[in-house]
Amino acid sequence: MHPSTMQRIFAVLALVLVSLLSYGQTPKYTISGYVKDNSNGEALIGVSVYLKENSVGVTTNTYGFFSLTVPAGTYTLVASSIGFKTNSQSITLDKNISLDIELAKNDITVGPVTITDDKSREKIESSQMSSVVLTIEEIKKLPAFMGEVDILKSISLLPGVQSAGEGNTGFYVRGGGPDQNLILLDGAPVYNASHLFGFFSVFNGDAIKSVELIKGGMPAQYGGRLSSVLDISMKEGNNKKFEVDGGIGLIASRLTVQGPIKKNKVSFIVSGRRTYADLIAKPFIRKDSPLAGSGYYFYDVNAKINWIIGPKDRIFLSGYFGRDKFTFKNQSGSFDAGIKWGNATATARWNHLYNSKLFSNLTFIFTDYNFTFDGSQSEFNFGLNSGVRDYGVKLDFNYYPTPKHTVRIGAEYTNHRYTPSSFTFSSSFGDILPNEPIRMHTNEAAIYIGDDWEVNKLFRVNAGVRVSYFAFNGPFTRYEKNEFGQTVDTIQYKPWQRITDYVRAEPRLSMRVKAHENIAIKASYTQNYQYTQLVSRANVSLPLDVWLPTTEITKPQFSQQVALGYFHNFLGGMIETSIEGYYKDMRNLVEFADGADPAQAINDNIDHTLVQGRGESYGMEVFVKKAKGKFQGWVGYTLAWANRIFPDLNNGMSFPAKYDRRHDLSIVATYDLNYRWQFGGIFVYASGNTLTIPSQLYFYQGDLITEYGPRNDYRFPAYHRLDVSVTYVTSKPEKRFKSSLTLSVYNVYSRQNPYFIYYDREGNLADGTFQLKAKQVSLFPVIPSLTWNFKY
Amino acid sequence: MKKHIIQFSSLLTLLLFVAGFMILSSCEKDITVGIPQADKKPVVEGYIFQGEYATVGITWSFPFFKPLTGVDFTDPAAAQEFLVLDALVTLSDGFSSETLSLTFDPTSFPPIYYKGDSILGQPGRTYTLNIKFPGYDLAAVTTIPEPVSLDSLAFKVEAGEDSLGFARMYFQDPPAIGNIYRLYSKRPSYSNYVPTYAVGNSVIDDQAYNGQYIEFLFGRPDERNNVFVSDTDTAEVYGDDSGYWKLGDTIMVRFCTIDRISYDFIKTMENAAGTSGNPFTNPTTVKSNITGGNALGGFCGLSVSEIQRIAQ
Repeated sequence: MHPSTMQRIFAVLALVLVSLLSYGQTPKYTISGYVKDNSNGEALIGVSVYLKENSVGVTTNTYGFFSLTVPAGTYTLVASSIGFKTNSQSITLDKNISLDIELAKNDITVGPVTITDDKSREKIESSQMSSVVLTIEEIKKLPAFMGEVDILKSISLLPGVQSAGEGNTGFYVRGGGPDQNLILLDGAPVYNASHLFGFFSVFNGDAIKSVELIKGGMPAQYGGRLSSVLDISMKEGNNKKFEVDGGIGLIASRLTVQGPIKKNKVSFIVSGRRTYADLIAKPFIRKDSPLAGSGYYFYDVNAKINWIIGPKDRIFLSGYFGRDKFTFKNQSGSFDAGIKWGNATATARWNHLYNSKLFSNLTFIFTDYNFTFDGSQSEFNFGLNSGVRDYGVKLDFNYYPTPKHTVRIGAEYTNHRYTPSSFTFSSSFGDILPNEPIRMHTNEAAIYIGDDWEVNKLFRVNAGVRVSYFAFNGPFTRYEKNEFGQTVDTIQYKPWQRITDYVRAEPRLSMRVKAHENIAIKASYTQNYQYTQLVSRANVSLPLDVWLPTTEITKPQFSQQVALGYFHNFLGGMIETSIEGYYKDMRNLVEFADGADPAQAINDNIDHTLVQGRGESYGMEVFVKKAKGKFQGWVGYTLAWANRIFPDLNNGMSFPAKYDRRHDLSIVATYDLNYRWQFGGIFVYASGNTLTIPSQLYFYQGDLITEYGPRNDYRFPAYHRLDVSVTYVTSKPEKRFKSSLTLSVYNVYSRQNPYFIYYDREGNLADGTFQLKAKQVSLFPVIPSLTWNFKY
Repeated sequence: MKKHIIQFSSLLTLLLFVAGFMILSSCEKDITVGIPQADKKPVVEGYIFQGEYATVGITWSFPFFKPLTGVDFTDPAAAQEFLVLDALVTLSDGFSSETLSLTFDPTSFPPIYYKGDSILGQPGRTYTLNIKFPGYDLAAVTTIPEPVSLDSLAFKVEAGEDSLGFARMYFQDPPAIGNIYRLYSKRPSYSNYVPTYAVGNSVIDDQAYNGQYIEFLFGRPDERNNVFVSDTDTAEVYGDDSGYWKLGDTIMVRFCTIDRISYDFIKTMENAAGTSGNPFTNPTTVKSNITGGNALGGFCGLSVSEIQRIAQ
């Protein structure tokens, strides 16, 4: 061997040895803190915070917190997020540093947009797949139905997410029902996120900061629902200066007031919204129609107080309250009815920093959803009441031991009180039935642990397990049945007496392989349990749909999902693309039995009218997004199948799920021409919903009876629609008072998209002219609307 | 203890249907729904009342959108399109059996049906029906339970009305569980008793009120379903007092008991008739008790107790 080569080898070895030794001996310090918006102090979620020198980084959590532990040294700390100017600063890490970073919004009128490391990198870096984050700024750019910015409508423009359709509440994710989505508002579950008839969601865009939707690969800190998590964060309130925003539209108006109570320390935000009933109904009601004496309105209020007690502690109090009211009177006045519907949520959260590596959050939660129907006819009054009320507490720790691991550990507990369908009845004769509302009480708890581990530059894993517990307790009266369905015994359970309980483990695993600087391949496998369901009686969703818990008769719902995805960014992150495939297997799904009757709840338990079965859904989602520049938008396409097999339905044969929609395409585009003009457009196309249609008619007792074909065998015609919007900013850029006018046109070419089909009888047999005709009813023709938005 | 029960959940559904329909009726159009070809099925409508001979009508179902131009029952070819006229129908009560023969009765629908002439319905007996015709070999079993009689009837004029109102029936439900009733009523001018809805159906299960003294409200059923009434007759048939009893009416009630299988069948059948075409409810599956082939309908045994009263 050549002596100089030997020397070189020896030198290299020595160098390696020395550097290894010095690495082990170099002390490590933590840099941690919060990332905020410099204009209003709002914590920024999901901001990429990293050290330029070694690319070691994390993303900020729901409260804007980050923590990085690295060897001592001098570094350039970079914080970047879409819509904001990247912030770089030099830091000398020779002790633990606590540092807040403020980011400035990216103003499009000032210079060209620099394309550097930012949000789009998130898609490639993160181990989280099947998830999308939308900021309220992105959502506000989209054309709004009747001028109302709607979060649920916006997320249904993403692949894998389907809107339940006009007039229907909820959304479907990967073939799962609307009750399989965990919708959280500042941590509180919202049971019914739409206003009556599903026209608007309960979320006022002005009070919301951002929205994250997780469709698969659900990490261990979330549970209780099979299909998705929609985590909605409210704004905290501008803690630098007072701000008033609002809008006046044809259908509804909104007002938001926010500001500091103590600058940079305590801030609040209050947001309200209300519709004008007549204006919605008027174009559709004929003057001679019996509906002429009816009315409808809704309102909602969001409020929050945010208090930074000290460097280690913060408290957030948030609340939401919303109500819908619909009244109906028939012409002669003999029949009178009213429907009230709404949610209320409240959360109290305490963030505590134990040290720079350990962040904790303790949340107390209250949520209440209620639906009441009151009617009276002649001397009789009747009512139907249904709802859910929860009290809960959640404790969550984020632990950042090294930059390679982000550990989450936590526990949660919720007490649920269900009112499945409580009838009340009274007459002027003095009879009242029943004496007390029927309720079901359950307790749900979970503990979880998960770690997001960057194994090496190429491979990242998020592995966790959630163990969930569910108990169904008294007070409750269980009616025991014999094989003929007759009640033979009743068991009375005392308060808190356990009727049944379940313990289940839910492993969660997702991983990312970085094949290239801009290419990632991700895979995930998750198991989930769900201990509640929203059971529907009809093809069309109705306020009559009722939330029911798991019981000793109704087993917990279960799903396992495997997903595989390919993610590729182009042009330095200008274009994000992904293609994801998934397969989901669900068990113990719940439906009403054929011919189940609401009146069966009298002297019986409602869960005797339920049946359970299996479901299967699989598909492929393609997503292309241009996230920067004047012209932005995305195209999302989903090809999916969703089937069900229930032994007690459709003669045990497989049938398409109500939400089986073969194709779903959304094209979204926004264009910021300049400071004054902004344009937006949406085009959606979806295969038709399923429907069970009649096949034969026959006579019995002189009545015509319909014999139906196989369940959900028929498809409505396809749904498609184009919306456009134009926004003109009327205020001058340098003024503090900003205002703009938005013209939004919904369903530009006025397609009559089907809402439901009914069969009308024409003629009669005696004249030999009898025939049934199918008629399709559509909800919304072209609807233009004008909204004036302002901000001070 | 007395109870009034009215089926208001169906009222709620109706309300929402009406509300939805009315609001939206300006955005409506005719469409063609392509229904796959399906074979017609025989529909059996069989009854055996206490003290009467069994009656069995067998009709054919027809495609949903087929225009119905009426059937001339005196024309054999037309009648055969709609009715099964070549079946061998036999009835047995465990002691004897008989073959039912075709009868023509213009007061009923269908006007041609099979009728017995030797076996009369008796409480406590089990009846087996067999029907054979080309391609079909059907059977059905039913029982007639012990009768329960009504205590009394009453009538009350509705608030806001001059002479129209609802009738009320009173009876003591026997203590054992599983008493199931069917209510029929008529005016003297009707040819036949008509099933009458008291709790949203004409059949009542005592589950909710077992062993109690019961009061039910009921209206007056129309004699004919509106598909049979020509537009010119509508006002006359359905007049102002449609659905109500009137002061001076003789309220005639036939109160029957039935077994559980008959209850399941009649209840699901009436629900299906009521929700036909309503998009806000799930299609109901009718629990037919006809076995042996792809047949619809049912065979029910009923005990009889009759009572009447003048409305005053």
